[in-house]
Amino acid sequence: MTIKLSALVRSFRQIVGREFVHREPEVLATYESDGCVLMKARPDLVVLPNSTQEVAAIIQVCYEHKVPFVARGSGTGLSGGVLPMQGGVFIGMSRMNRILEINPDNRTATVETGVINAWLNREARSYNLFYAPDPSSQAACTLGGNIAENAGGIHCMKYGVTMDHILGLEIVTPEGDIVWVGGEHGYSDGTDWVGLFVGSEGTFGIATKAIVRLTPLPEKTKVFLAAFNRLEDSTDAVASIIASGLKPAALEFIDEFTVKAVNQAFDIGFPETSEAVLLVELDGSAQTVALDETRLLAILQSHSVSQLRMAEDEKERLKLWKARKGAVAAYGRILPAFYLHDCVIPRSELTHVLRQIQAIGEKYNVIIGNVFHAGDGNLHPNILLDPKDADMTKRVLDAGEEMLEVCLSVGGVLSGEHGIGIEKAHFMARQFSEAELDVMQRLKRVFDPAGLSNPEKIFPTRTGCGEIRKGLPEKILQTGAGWI
Amino acid sequence: MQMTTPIALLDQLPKRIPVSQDDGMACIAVQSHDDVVQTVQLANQTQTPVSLSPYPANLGAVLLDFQKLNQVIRHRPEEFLITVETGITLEKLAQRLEPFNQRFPFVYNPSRTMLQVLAEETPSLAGTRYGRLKQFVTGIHAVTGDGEPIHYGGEVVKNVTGYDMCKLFVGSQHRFGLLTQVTLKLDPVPEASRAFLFHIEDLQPAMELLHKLKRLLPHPEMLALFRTKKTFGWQILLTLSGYKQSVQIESDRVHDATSHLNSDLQELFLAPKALEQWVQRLDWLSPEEPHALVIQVMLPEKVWMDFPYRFMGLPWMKSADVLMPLNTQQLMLRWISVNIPSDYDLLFFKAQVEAMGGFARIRRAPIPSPVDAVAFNRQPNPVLRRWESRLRQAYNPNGILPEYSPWILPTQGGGGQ
Ligand SMILES: Cc1cc2nc3c(=O)[nH]c(=O)nc-3n(C[C@H](O)[C@H](O)[C@H](O)COP(=O)(O)OP(=O)(O)OC[C@H]3O[C@@H](n4cnc5c(N)ncnc54)[C@H](O)[C@@H]3O)c2cc1C
Repeated sequence: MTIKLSALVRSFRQIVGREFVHREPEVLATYESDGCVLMKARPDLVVLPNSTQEVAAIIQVCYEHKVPFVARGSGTGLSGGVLPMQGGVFIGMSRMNRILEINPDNRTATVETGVINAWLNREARSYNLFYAPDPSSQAACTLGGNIAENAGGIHCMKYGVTMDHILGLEIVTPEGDIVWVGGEHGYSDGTDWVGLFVGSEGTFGIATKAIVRLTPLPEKTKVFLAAFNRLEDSTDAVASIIASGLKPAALEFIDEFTVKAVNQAFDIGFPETSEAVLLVELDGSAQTVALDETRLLAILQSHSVSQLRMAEDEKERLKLWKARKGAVAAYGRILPAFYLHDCVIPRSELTHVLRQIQAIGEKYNVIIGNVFHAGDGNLHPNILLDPKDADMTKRVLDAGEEMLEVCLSVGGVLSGEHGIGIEKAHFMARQFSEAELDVMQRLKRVFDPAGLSNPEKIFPTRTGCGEIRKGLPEKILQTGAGWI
Repeated sequence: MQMTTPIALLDQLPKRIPVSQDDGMACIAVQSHDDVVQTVQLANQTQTPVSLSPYPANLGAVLLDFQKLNQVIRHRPEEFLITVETGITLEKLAQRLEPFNQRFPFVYNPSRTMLQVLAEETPSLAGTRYGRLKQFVTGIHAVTGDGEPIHYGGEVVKNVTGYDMCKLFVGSQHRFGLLTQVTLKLDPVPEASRAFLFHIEDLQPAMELLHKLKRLLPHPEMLALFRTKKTFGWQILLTLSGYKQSVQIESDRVHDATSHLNSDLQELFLAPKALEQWVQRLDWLSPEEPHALVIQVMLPEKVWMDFPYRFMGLPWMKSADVLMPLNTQQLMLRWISVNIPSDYDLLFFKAQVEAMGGFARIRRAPIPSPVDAVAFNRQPNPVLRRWESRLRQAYNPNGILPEYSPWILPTQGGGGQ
């Protein structure tokens, strides 16, 4: 059954109020892409609810009239996850941004999912606690987006990804029901509903509230900046750190190109004469940090580290991490956009794979900046581009595809933290057999039999598993899939 | 489903897969992932239910025996990862890792298999430091109830490629699929470890000490309060591990903080052996324990301290063992006495736990019956019930795998109808 757009607008205005329903083209245009700028699709309507009950009422209308809907946090996703592939309704979570409770005894916080990641951290710090998952986009992204993508971050190496910090969720199901799964105790019975929902990329309904775990701030923290003249030395050092059993809080890689871009943007003074820089953070009790430090320095030295800097005070430490987190923004001074892969590989393969990535860059004559979570083996080759240049865009996409093949060939996986969204959906058949994809897709039908919640994501759909990559962006560029 | 005797299945089973009789039940000794795939597919074709001890078995079921599916597929010491077949015992796994000075950090009774602990996501005392077992599984090979093989994840430590199938199969008690291989994260064997045992007569000072230790030590490996029938009063088990110097400093802090207490502090100097005994004794889901009723309660930390005061006064509690490991926020109770609480007692108990923001589930060990599951699951949440039924339809459409969780009386839907 279809419904006229005007009737839908009337229903939604009754639920959330007139000023929170948008259909003006200039407003819709601001919602037509996320951080993955290669693709665009416009919703037919944007609705901004202020409570779980309002979200449920909106979805009930959608369910009744079989209108697809997509939850939207801050739109910083990097896999086209928020693109409304069939048009329909955007449910923006920006007004549901309240921190409802911080319970220091329980070391938990209860939040609405429109809360920005960094806000929660700011609040938690006043209790000597922190929320560990810290994506580089944390100043902008929402906890709802983090939950949907199972976001990672710099400190996830030691503290785990979003999933490890979500104890309970309030969900509005794609059929319009409100249900709590898990709880302050952090358990679901038999079936791990929280575990299944986290990382489901908005395809199982909308998370409206979350109970998250907070972690005590460590007694001592030290960050080391280690520069290497040869890339191999840096990646071998990463492999040795992992093999030694050391567990740094963070272990990040920055290549020469990115170092220069960051220096220009932030005047940070990273050593420019080296092929690679590692940022390593140790934390824990003062005693443990001191003992870890001795081992770490020995490893770095055995891999011919050329320069070593240490940040012990909080100001210097934050400066280094700010520069690391701002690397992507720094690329913007060179070319207006980037296309980014997010594969994870065994850490012992880093040297080999990074050299291959370099070679692919040369083959396709594209600029690549590498800044990534080395400790997790989570690569982020950022291929810079100007989307207006069709030839360059094609070369970038081809190079990206080849890099992905290299990662899969060493036992890697397509995504470590950004999700599959629409951008990598057509690659899924490279990692999984058709039967395996079917087994996974059965889960979608459990949560969303009508297929209304963020449709056409994660799995190849349009032309089956052999979906045509090059046709995809153009197709999506036809804004507003004209559903209504 | 229509029950048949397993003859049709056994007739079609390839000869290389050995079949034996176990208590009159046909028992198929699978030896590879492919054997499991083939058996489950045949079971679907012949409508023969399969069963894995100790899960509720339907009449006419064949028993799958995973004992021979016990090989190490690949150990990557440099990555701290190992891929094993799930019939491997924890003892064999530990032996394989010992020369590399590595360990799988969750401690259980060493005779248990990975399959058993993964199917239940069995709580471990080491959860105090390491959290949940699931977080240590990076990849799986499994077979769904309708015989479809699936491989998810692998030797990578981070992964959001599609839906996380590990979360579906680990902890769901074989209701949707059988795990045949898993890749596990490992940990280095710590340079030093020390274990302490405190004996305290009364509950209140025991709780206070527990609270104090928790504030004092950022990451103990184990911290648990328990009472057993054999001992008088209460005991706290504390283990520390890490660098020699760090453990020494922490031990000194423990001594300083407890020296004035009127408690009997005993250091288990023979840590590994002595500890093993405790771990075995505290492995409460152990199927060897006959006629036990096990209640598992998860409580938010903030109300955790209230629990004993609220519940220890209940008359039927007096015959219970109690175990409270910290951090995983769980409290386990076990009754092995004949004075089993009535249904009313249990329902009252469950309501109280829920009122405290907690979660409780109950099972009979060693062999829970499907009848229990149906009888006790009176008011599960309708949404979760709907999802649960769709999951069964999606992954176990012919009811070949055990359909019920061995847990009864869950507070949030879950197994059973
Ligand atoms: C500069 C930059 C750096 C980044 N660094 C990292 C990083 O270090 N680690 C990392 O993991 N990611 C990183 N990202 C990616 C991105 O920030 C994360 O994926 C983030 O979690 C997205 O949050 P969001 O609020 O912007 O979500 P959106 O982009 O709005 O949405 C993402 C997905 O989540 C769904 N969604 C949003 N809210 C909800 C909800 N309440 N319920 C259900 N589904 C919902 C959407 O439908 C969509 O599928 C980075 C992005 C940028 C631009």
